[in-house]
Amino acid sequence: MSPRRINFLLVEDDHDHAILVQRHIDKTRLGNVVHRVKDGEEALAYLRREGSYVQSPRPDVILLDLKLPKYDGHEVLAQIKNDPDLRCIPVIVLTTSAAEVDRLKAYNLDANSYLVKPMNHDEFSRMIEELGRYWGGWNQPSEERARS
Amino acid sequence: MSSGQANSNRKSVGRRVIQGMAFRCVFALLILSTIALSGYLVNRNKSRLFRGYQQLVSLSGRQRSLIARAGLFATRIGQTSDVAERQKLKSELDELISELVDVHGVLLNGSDELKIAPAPPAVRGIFMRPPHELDRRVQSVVATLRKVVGQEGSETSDEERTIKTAVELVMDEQLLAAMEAVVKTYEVESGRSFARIRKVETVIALLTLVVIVVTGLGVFWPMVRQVRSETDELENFNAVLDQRAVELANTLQALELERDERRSRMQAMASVLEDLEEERGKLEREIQARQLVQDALAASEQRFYAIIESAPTAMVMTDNQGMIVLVNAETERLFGYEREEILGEQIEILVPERFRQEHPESRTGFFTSPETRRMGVGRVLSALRKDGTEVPVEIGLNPIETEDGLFVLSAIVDITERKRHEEILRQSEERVRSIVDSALDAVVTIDEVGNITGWNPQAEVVFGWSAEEALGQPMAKLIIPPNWRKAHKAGLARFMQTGTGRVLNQRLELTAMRKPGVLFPIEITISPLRVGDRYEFSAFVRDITARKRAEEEIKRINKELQRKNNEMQQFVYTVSHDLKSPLVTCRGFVGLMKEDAAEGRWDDVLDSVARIERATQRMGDLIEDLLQLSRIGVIRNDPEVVDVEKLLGSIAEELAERLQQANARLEIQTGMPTVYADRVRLAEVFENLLSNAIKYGCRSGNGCITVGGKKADGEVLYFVKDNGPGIAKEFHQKIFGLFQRLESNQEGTGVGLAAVARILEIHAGRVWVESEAGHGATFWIAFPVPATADQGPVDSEPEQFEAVLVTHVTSVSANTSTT
Repeated sequence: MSPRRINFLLVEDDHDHAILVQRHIDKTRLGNVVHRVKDGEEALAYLRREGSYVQSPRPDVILLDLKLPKYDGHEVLAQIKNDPDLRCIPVIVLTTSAAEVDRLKAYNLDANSYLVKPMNHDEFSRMIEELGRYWGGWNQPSEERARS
Repeated sequence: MSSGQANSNRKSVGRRVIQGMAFRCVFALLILSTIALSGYLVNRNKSRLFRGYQQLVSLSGRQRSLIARAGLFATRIGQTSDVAERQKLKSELDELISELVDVHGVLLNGSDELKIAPAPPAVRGIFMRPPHELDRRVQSVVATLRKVVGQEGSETSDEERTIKTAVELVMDEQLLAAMEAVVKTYEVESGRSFARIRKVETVIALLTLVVIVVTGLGVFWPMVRQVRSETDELENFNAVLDQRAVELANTLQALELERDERRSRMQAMASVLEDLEEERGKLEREIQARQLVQDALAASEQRFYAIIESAPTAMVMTDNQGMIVLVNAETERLFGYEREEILGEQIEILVPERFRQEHPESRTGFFTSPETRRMGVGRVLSALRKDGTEVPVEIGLNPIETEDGLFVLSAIVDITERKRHEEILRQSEERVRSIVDSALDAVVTIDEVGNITGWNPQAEVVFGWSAEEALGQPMAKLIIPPNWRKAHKAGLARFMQTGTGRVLNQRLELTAMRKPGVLFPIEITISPLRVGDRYEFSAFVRDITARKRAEEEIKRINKELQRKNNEMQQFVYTVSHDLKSPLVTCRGFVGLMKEDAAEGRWDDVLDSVARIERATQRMGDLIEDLLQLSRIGVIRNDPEVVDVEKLLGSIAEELAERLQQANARLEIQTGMPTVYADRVRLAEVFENLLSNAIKYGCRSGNGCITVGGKKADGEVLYFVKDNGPGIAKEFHQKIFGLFQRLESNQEGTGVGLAAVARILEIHAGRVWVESEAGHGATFWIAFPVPATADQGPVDSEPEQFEAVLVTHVTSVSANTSTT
């Protein structure tokens, strides 16, 4: 039995990057982008089901860019990991920055993974595929927990 | 009566007495031991008698018990039908019977083994004679019992009868009475024996008493009598002796008196003799003393010549006519003459020709008032050698009065060597002085109480006081700031007391004071110098005002460089990140495009192309903006007084189209202050702020932008205000950072406000925003007003530096009052 397709929340201010990620996810057929938000404020509102997001489904995995308007990715990450309701959702930082400071900061804030957006198209495909397989398989029990 | 006779008499009497007493004692002891021996024998007999009696009683008892047990066995034999049992009983009975026979034999006939005597006649009667006939009765019992034992297999009636007979015999009253009688008889016998023995004992005790009394009377009473008579005799003899002793003592006294008289006569004669001896000794000593004086005089003269001869200085003695009468070895060496050559010559032979004329005169002058002239008191003189050379000398003169008249002893010292040393010393001092005088450091020396003893030309330059003004003055008053004078004084006192000082021999940075009371930083090294038995202190002082200034400058530049470096790192990091972003887009869509093209999805291909185009465009913008930003601070235009109203007017014209598009209004206040700044940059600031106001503040469609300015607190302030959605407080700082944007869908690179902040920084000004969400935003910029018109804010560094220097100087001299 193949794993259920997983639902991603994509936090990305750059529209083009968002489309790139979405198309790669579609291609792998391992997951769906349930929603895309443009900044940290919106991401937190979505996750906490505030305002127009009251009915929004809970994502299985969050893909988080670091360079965001208003609250940047690190702040969003800190907020998610300090929220008892959201803490168990895996957060994967997906950014153009390969700087060591960003990487360390993200892991210190309990990011589940840190991926640098690849320049190469094939690498991008492979990265998204691996990401889907890993978190798709991993996520099943946590999904059960979340429902109960 | 002579004493010898009395003595021998006493001795013979004593011996007699002792012999008599010994004899009597021995006799008494013999009697006593005889009595004791007989007592012992009686007692031994008594105990043996008692033991025999006991044995007999126990044997008799044994006989009775044996008979009784035999009867019992016989009865049991009669009652038992079991053959084996009977047999056993019979054998035991047999043993009883034989024992009974033995005991009976012993009772009757005695036994050597048991030390029992045969039965006495009374007892024997009981055994043999009626009425008891014990022997017979026992024998019949034994026989009957033996019969019982011996009957085997015979008729039972017979046997029964036999047993019955035996039992009857055993139980017979007569038998028992007989045995009883035996014991009783023995008792009576022994009682008799004991009574006899008691009698004997009584006799012995009485005898003992008699013997003791007889001994006391016969032996001890004569002894006492004898001793008493002896004592009386001795007393008489003593009295005779005392009388003779008194006679002897009288004779002795007479003899002693005679002896004393003779002794005193002898003493008188001895003292006469002594007096005579003393007289003679005195005469002898006088003779000796005279001899010594003569010797000493001769030795003294010899010593005088020896001293003169060996003196390390040339010694010349002349008479009152100036004739040389005595010279020493050193004179020969110094002047090069042999002794014989100058003795008898005039002293002027040793005087250089140019002084020869006047010398006899001064010589006679000396003789008229002769007094000792010490070495070194006179001036330096010259002496003439034999070879014609002159030698610098010092001459001491001593007048010597003798019987032959007045002489002069001259001591002449060659001071060539000393003069040479003095010259070297003088040159050395001169050299040191010229070093100190030409030194670039101020060199100041003080004495133990702190007064100035040295002040070189550079000290005059550094402190402004001339050497004349400074020398002899207390140093503290002249060059130490008032607040430190106390410490200086204490330090000096401590050194004089302990020989140690905290500030000595190290390079220190302190504050000093120059002539009109101005304070300035110095570098100073203080060393104590031991000069003879006193101390001096030398200080090398360098004015380090310029160096301090340079150090401050270096520190400031370093800090600035550090800051710039950090900024640069941040900048590179941000730029690389933000430039990568469009690159990811480009390459990502190129990849998708390839796939789409291969599968013929041409719409998607076109979409990708458009996206790539936009990304490259954006990249271009970013690079352009970054270049702009980097030019700020690199390309500096000279500051000038800018009419801001005019400047804003021209900017408004440029923005007219954009304002119209956004349907926004721009109001520029009149009467705004001018500012002294870089005109081109100032224009950039306003362009950016206005552009932002249009972009973010006028989205509603009826935006209104206001620009104004004022002067306040030494600053020129301008503001750009919009009535847009405003900015939340938490982002007020953030928006001035590079590439920081609050919204992703708006155009813009996030460089504009960063550039504004940078321009204001270069102008030493400030920029900030006042805003609340929903109530518009007001951006403020502030420029410092320069102190004077010809000093622009761009050139403000020297002023700043002055300020820094002043703070430093006061911190270095923490307790210095700046005057």
